Amino acid sequence: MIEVKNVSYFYNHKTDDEIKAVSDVSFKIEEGEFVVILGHNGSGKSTLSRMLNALIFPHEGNILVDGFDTSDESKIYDVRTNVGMVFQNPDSQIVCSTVEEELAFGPSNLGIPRDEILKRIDFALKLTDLEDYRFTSPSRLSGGQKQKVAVASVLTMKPKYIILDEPTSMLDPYGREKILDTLRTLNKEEKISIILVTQLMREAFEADRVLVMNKGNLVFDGKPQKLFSNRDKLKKYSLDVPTMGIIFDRLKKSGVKLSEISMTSESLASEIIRLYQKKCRK
Amino acid sequence: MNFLSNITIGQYAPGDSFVHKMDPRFKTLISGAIIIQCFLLDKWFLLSVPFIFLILVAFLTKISFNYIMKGLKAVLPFIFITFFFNCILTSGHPIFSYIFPNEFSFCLFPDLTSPVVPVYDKFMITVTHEGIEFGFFMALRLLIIVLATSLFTLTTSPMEITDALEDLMKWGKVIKIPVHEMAMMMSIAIRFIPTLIEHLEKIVKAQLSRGAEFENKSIIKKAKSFVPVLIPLFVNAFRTADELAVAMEARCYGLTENRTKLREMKTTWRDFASCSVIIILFAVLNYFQFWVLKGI
Repeated sequence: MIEVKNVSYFYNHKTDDEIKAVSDVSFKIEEGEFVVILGHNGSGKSTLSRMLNALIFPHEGNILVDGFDTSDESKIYDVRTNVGMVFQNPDSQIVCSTVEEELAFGPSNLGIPRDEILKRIDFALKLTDLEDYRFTSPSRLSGGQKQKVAVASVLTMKPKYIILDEPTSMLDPYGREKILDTLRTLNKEEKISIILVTQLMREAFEADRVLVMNKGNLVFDGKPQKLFSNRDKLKKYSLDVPTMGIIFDRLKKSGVKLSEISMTSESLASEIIRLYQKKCRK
Repeated sequence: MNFLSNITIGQYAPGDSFVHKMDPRFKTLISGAIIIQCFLLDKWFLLSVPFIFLILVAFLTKISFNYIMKGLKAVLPFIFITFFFNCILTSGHPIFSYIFPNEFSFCLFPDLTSPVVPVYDKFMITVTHEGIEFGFFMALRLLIIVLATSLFTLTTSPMEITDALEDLMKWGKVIKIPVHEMAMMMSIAIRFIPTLIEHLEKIVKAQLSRGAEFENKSIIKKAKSFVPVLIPLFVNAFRTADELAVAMEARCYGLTENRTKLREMKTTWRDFASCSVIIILFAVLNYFQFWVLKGI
């Protein structure tokens, strides 16, 4: 469990032009959860995600990862092995010249024996569907594949939580869909907690729970459906209102009795078909 | 503009020949030894032995002759220039001489017992017997150095070279040389060559689309026109380095002393066999050089 307790973070701390990036945020993330942290540019979501991995330390409050305080220097090893991190730019987070070596980079930093590393590589390649690219140079892969390599290279460290800081923002829609697929599999089959930081509303559909950040404050914590139905709130936090939401609203206003909020076009379509068939039977 | 196709990094040609399969550490040592050896020999016919040996090795690598020649092409002019200047600037017995304004002489087999003609004696050009011999000797020496190093890089991947150097420099840790860190820097540099080329291409295209001119005849203008390309490239490289450092830190780099090595270097019978061949070859060469032909 990741516990965030009254955490604040300032840029240019204790100088005249101090900027509050995260202010007094508290929440908990359970093991096996799929959480999306949603927020506009400069909302403090990236800063928050970096604090969870002990890359930066909170100025106020503290963060406990499975009971280890991230601010405690001697516990950094435990924090970073449990919390994997994937960054935005696929090009600048790949260290090695072949996919295999890249996947081995994390565990070899931990001094794990070679046989175990090779086992983990097999496992991670299988999960991310990259088996054919084991000996390929990352520079020959597409953006989506590179980002998958980044996810896989975090997997070989066997983390309980994976934080992804806008992993899809530099990808085309196809690559984006592939990454989300991979994350879904990891969450469902391997029970790894996924913490996806994003600006894109439609990526929030994936989540069990959405946290919305606005100007450094945590302004929403709940099921995506709840947030989804509140268009005014979304606009207030400079988030895009999804097309499905607009269609749903209009249908409801014109008297169609939709049972629940549908998140994807498929589920909305099947809902409409269901209602239509019901009507025909009558 | 396509930069990627013009650059062959380290010119590594993958394969599974005898030479490819050798331990990179042994390959490093052997090619170093060949280069040192060819500075110890001072007779061209002795030097031709390691040259023929390298040609045989080239056949062993199963890399096509043309591909090897492509790598040598760049240094051929230097070899010719070396040969040419040694021919005309060595004192000895002239084969061909031209004395200003119109005096020629030509003799294919000059009398080697006659007195030596110094080069700078008169205003003349002489090609001496000794000059040709010495020029040929120097050219052969250069050719051996280039051939040895290019056969090494052709059969050893950059990563293998890095590993080999790290392993061979292990003793450096005793006197506080950060061997591992240097090897890491080298491998990251190799890894980022294609990424930087990609950046470069993007920037060039962006500048072209704004009307920048790169096809300029004047060298100074051409150099100047690359300033708006290099500056963003550098800024980009620093940003990438910064992000990479954070990404490496997030994956626990530097938290433990003993990193596991994924790639293992194995010493096999191939290495011992080639080592013995080299030792025997060098022993014979040095025997001739320092005992049989001593003082000649």
